[in-house]
Amino acid sequence: MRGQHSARLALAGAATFGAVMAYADPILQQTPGTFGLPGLIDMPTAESAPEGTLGATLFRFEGGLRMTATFQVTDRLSGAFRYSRVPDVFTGGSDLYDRSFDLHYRILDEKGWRPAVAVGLRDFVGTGIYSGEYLVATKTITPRFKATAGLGWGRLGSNGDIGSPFGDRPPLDFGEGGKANTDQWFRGPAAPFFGLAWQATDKLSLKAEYSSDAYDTETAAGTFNRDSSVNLGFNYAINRTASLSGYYLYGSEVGLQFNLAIDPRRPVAPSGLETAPLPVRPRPTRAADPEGWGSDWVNDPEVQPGVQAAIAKALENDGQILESMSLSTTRAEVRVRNERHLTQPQAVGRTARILTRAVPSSVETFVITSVANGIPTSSVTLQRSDIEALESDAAFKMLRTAEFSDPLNGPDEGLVQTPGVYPRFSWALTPYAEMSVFDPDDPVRADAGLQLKGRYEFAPGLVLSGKVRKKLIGNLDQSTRVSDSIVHHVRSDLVEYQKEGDPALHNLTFAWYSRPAPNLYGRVTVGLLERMYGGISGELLWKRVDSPFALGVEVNRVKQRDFDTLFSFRDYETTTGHVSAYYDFGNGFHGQIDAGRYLVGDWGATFTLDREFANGWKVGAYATVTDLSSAEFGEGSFDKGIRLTIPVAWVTGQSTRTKVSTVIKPLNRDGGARLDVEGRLYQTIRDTHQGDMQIQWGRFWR
Amino acid sequence: MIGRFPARSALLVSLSVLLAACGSDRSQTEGGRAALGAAKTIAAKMRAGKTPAQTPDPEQMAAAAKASFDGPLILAQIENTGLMTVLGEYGRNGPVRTYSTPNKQTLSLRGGVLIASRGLGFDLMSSDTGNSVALITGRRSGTSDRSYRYLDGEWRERPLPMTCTYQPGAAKTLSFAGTSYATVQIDETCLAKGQSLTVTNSYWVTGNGTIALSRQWIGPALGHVTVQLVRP
Repeated sequence: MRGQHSARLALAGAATFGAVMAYADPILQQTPGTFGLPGLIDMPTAESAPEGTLGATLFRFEGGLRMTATFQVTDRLSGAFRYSRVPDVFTGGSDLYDRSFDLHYRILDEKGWRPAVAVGLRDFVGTGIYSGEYLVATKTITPRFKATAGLGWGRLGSNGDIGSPFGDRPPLDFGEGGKANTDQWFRGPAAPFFGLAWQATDKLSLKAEYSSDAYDTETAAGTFNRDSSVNLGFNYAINRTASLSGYYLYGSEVGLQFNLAIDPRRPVAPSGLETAPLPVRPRPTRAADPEGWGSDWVNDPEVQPGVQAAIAKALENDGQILESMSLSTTRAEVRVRNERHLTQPQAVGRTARILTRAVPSSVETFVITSVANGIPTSSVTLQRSDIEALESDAAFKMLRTAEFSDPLNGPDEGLVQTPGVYPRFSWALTPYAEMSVFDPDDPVRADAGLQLKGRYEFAPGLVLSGKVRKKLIGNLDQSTRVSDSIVHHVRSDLVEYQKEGDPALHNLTFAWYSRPAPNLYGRVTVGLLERMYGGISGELLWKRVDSPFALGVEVNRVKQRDFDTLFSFRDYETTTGHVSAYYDFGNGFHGQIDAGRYLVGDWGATFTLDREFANGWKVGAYATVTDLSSAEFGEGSFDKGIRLTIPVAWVTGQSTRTKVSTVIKPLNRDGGARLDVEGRLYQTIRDTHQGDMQIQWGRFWR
Repeated sequence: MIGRFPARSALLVSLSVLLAACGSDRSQTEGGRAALGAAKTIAAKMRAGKTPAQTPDPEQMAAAAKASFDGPLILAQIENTGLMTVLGEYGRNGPVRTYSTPNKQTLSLRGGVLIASRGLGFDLMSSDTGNSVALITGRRSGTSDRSYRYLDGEWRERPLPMTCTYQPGAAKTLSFAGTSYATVQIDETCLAKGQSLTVTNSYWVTGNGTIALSRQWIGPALGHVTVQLVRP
């Protein structure tokens, strides 16, 4: 029958497990307002999205356009980043393109008669067209009916104010923008707002509000009529991810909004469509296999090569490479590179099962060592009898028996390299796309083309690699933006590289990865390190296999590359480097601090906080503060951005280590810019260490 | 046989794989392949309504499988999808036998009771059977704790604890794949602890404790599978 395939396809469409298991959602769900965070229409509510939810909204009306990305950072804290267009209000009557950040914090939960209470800051850094603060309460009246009332300041206190309880609001001194306007918060006139939300059907909710926003700027520019303070709206859930909202605003305008809400805990695909692993093969009894249980086989020179070849073959079928192996009467160690499985426990679990099928019976201890970029990064020691006994048991039981250690602390005599593993050449021809957003002249530009990557590994840890791109279609070269930066253009000439680099040799490097001592990792990279810089980069990382903490040092001597992105250089040379501290807080949060000298010679530090999910999703934000003045930095005052990583397997269910990562930077300036060298050590080794493996251990028997 | 694929679509697929990504570096190309797989999924779903599903003849499938495979065999059908396939024994660990399709999708049975699946998507990772296997194969009434384990949306393993009751029912003689079995029906009703979820499984058990036919629950997403013994 033609079935196996289509069956899997049908399974992929089945309801997700989570949906069936337990999702006691409240009947009236929160829906986003026009500013992206949970709200009525223009006014906020005291609600929050489910923890971890990533949202995106696009709102269009006569008074402008708002694109907002939101993230529910913790159960109580939400954040938003917005790119907006407000017509005709900028100098000379042109449109204002602006980026803004919001924070929203739920102080109190709803309990008994008490409503939920939240406090929020809108557009609290930057040029502040939407700046406003609020204190808001929301109460569930019936399961389908909620009422909200609040008090707003700033823009939210501009209509119908009741005076200024906390004093006057000083004028905004935004300079180059990018600074928090703290002295304005909760100052000036305060005005009440209120509203109602009603869940009419499972998919449709209706909203009404009395707005405290006077729309002074827009009305003055003549682009907007504010005839009433009452707004009406609906939200229609298209599916569990997408919804559509429509509004009748201020008695004169119509607005339309499209919303996406993605919960990283609810994958698009099933928990994995990979084929089944090889099952454990328990050992025969000593009586049935006296030879295997004995010790004489060790002296047979044909045993290890035969066993190693069989394991190498089985691993290759499983998307893994056996780099080397040692075999004694009681202990077998395999050093394995995982090229397929997203999580290392799955790779280790499959390797363990393969070992039970190939290694002589007398061997009780299996040491499975993960290899990344040719260097051994962690060893998991398992007892064969545990593997045999726990194959059909809870994964955590196997975890309890597993020992994690640094391979350098174990014996390394007797390791035999698998014949034919080195030298190793691999290549890939894949499509690529590059986008530029937030350019006021043309908010979205893009290029697409082909990219060829090659990688030649001479020996373990010695890698020659390169990447070349050829554009096929796109309009990035049509940008007329010229960098206005008054410091050396270390990053802000990106447009020139996009214009002239076709084809572009993005990198061509020779790298050496090493293990100088236990808990220490080293990297030296020379060549064309990245699109804009070439030179030499050296890094040393200290990390214990069982520690959530790591410390690294990186020093680079680099020269700026020519815009044609080939082999010539520009007349700018610098030394840049950082001391980096990494810490896995263990509750889904991960912090990183990089302090040092940046590309333009400025000294400072980058602070990064990531929310990480066990399935590989990461949502993070960073900010870089350096000794470059706001005036030297230019618009935005300092570098900041949001980064996002999504594993492809989350979308497709197929086994792949590929992840899609992106950094959303509102501005691309020269201050606080770091070198972008490939193969940084922490990310190379981290997923094979104990912390990450424990969190992902549920896939061991997968 | 199982998993045969129309030649033309296979060709198309490989061509588009080449277009999407090629190379020997799996870490680079598998993303493209995976994305393409997802596109195919969608395409196949859209086509699915147009091709009338053939109902395969279980007896014929069993006979063909017996002729081509020497080891133990079972025939399984997933109810939600109608997919029917023969699985051959792939591994044995103590009382647990793992059966696989040629496409490496597996079902693991402990004394005939389903305890794990692989390669189906929302797989049953493992399950504790308590004394349910003894009750079922002994054709007795009683109660037992059972626990099913699945991966949640973050791919962490989560248990689904159940309390099950066993009730022998009518006797029935079954004939399949050349063997006749005198069985008694055992019904298993499981209640999830702390949740409003009830699961019913049925087993047709012979006097020596062989489960000749069963209808068992894999999980919330996959639903029930019917398992028939082809060759013990």
